[in-house]
Amino acid sequence: MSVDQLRYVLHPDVEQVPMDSPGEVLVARRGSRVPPQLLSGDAMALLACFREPATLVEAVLAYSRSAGVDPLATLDEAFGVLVALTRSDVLVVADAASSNALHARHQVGDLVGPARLTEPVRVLTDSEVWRAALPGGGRAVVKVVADEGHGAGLVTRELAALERLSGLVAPRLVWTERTPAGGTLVLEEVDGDPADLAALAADDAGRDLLAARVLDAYADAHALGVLHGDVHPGNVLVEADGHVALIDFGLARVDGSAAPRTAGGEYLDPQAADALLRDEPSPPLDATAEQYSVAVLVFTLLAGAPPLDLECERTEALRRIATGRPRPFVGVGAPPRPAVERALRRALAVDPSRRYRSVRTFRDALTRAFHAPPVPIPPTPDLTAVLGCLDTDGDTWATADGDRAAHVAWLLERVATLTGDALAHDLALLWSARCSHASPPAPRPGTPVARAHHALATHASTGGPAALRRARAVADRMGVPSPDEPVDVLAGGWAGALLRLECAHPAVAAQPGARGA
Amino acid sequence: MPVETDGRLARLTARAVGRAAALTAYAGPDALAAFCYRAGATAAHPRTDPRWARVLVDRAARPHRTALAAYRRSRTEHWDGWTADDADPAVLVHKVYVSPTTPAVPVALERVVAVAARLGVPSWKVGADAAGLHRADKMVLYLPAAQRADVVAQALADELADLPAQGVLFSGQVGASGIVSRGEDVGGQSWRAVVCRAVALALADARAADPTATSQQVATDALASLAADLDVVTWYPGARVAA
Repeated sequence: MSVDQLRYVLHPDVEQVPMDSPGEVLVARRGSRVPPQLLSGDAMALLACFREPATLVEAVLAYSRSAGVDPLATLDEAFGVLVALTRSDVLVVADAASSNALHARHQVGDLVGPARLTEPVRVLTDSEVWRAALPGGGRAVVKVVADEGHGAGLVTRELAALERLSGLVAPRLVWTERTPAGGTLVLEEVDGDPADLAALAADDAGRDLLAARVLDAYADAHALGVLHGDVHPGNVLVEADGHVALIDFGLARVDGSAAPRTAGGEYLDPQAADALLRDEPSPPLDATAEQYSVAVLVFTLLAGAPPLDLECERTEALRRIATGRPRPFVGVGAPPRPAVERALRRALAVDPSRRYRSVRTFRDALTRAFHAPPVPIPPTPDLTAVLGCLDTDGDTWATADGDRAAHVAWLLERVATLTGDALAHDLALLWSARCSHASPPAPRPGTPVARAHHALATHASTGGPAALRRARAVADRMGVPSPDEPVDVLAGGWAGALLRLECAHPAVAAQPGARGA
Repeated sequence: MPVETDGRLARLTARAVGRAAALTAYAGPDALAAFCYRAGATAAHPRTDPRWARVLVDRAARPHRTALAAYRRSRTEHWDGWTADDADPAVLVHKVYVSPTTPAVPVALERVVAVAARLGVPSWKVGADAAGLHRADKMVLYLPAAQRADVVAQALADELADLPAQGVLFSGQVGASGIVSRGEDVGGQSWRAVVCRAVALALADARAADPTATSQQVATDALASLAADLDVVTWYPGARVAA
């Protein structure tokens, strides 16, 4: 049967989430590893024609009739989308096994080896993960792999890694059973958070400790001949006592054994990204490549954001990984830590020969850098001390016109956002309501405030201290506010004080009048 | 339940009413009600990770997994909630607000979940995003009877007495710091939404009655007009103490 004769149907596991933009819908298939796809309103209307089985031609004709458009034009415009939807199994051949709804292979209460299943964690088309109870009260995770194409290899590699690590930096293997499509593993449960979430709940010292423990875990694994092969925060769990465990060794290499590489993602190393860009096979994973991936993770834990901005389409993202330098901490809103950033830059070098000799060496260098003295930061002005004069019993409230009120509202909103001050928050609400949420005018190009914000943007993207010094110098020349001085965020003491505050937060600095600040 | 007539929340609320009174010269009742409702919050830093709030909530709940097995977990865009399987949400109108400062939220959350699980509180919710944990009423517990709500509120006030309070305006303070307070939903509507709307309308009416009055006079007149139905000093639900 040729493609034009095949009848396709919208898979019953497809879920749709309307987006903010009118008509746009996010479409994903439950249990699939394919990321959600964003469809336009028109594409979604065409997709709806497959609620009942239809050939591609029937669906295009039905959609074109209802939309009053030329079928050939529809086919021309929608062909790529339809192909993508069939490849991601959103559209499947009707009556084929793939059109059946997803059902878990097990249910709560089933006995798998020694483990009694208690709760499903994840059910995918090719695998399942369950929480389970062990005899004697222990808790376990049951992992079922049933992938005809790759399952056997995944389980072989996982078992080899787990046996080699024997519970040191990975969960202990309790029981296993092999099948041609993979098999079942019962593992002791690691009751922890993904590393990035653990970092969110930690203070500065806690994040340093977490980074060191993550590096310890990888250094230990490497010392035992195991390369993880799938570094990302979801595979690095942190227990309540701070112990770090690595999970998911389906792509692991043990003593140089063969293993496939991940096909993308922000933890990819530059050489693998370069190979993907050239449509060539990725080089085999080695310890230096994994050091890069671990450094991306550690950077993210310490700075709260990844070292590269990969919010772009895939080819550009691969190019940035293959050639890019990590962002400065200040560019992602974290305080500058030159020694720490230096250590990370070396582990994140595009040229693998410039990275550390091993993850252990990287760990030692980074932990030494943790103890480097912090960069002295000039004290930020205590604007909150002078905010009282902007309350409703002050002269400013009594005398301000609409334009002045917009300046005051902007000042207070920025102070509230940058300092978290409660008084500034309430007064900002009040003044914003008074001026009907109007913004002050943006500074004219070339004025001191505009030049200072340009310098702040430069500093945020490069980390260069000279640009920050220029912005601070502008702020200092503007002076300090006095209660008698009319509030102006474009010139004078109030503008200078606000600018000094923005200099302490260059990644989120906002020029007066900027929308969405 | 001892009512704090000169408590921190009473003073903060009086100040907010005074500010809203000044705003009557420039804005209508909707804007006044919005100001009253949102006053007492702080702004979330724009770089706050959107997952931060849920991480704190999940970590606080984890040690109580067994006790919480009898609750349904609900997750909406703005709230994470637990409701006992046998609870009737329609009767859960007596509210206990918990309002630590944002830096104190992680410690407070762990204690609140522990107290709620220990006392069998039938339902509670916690802000699920950064904005939710910066608003004043960031944690709310629901009970079917005023007396039981008072008991839970006092237990929480004792448990959280050492933590810094942010404080929920227009709610009745319990304990010395204002970290715990009480409300009571009315006719299916949120206590604070009802009260803030009533205050806003009263302020607008007072301004309209005398356009030349001072803000202080507008506030005084507005509160006097509400005193028959609400305790306009402590904002404790049901207390109805005249101003």
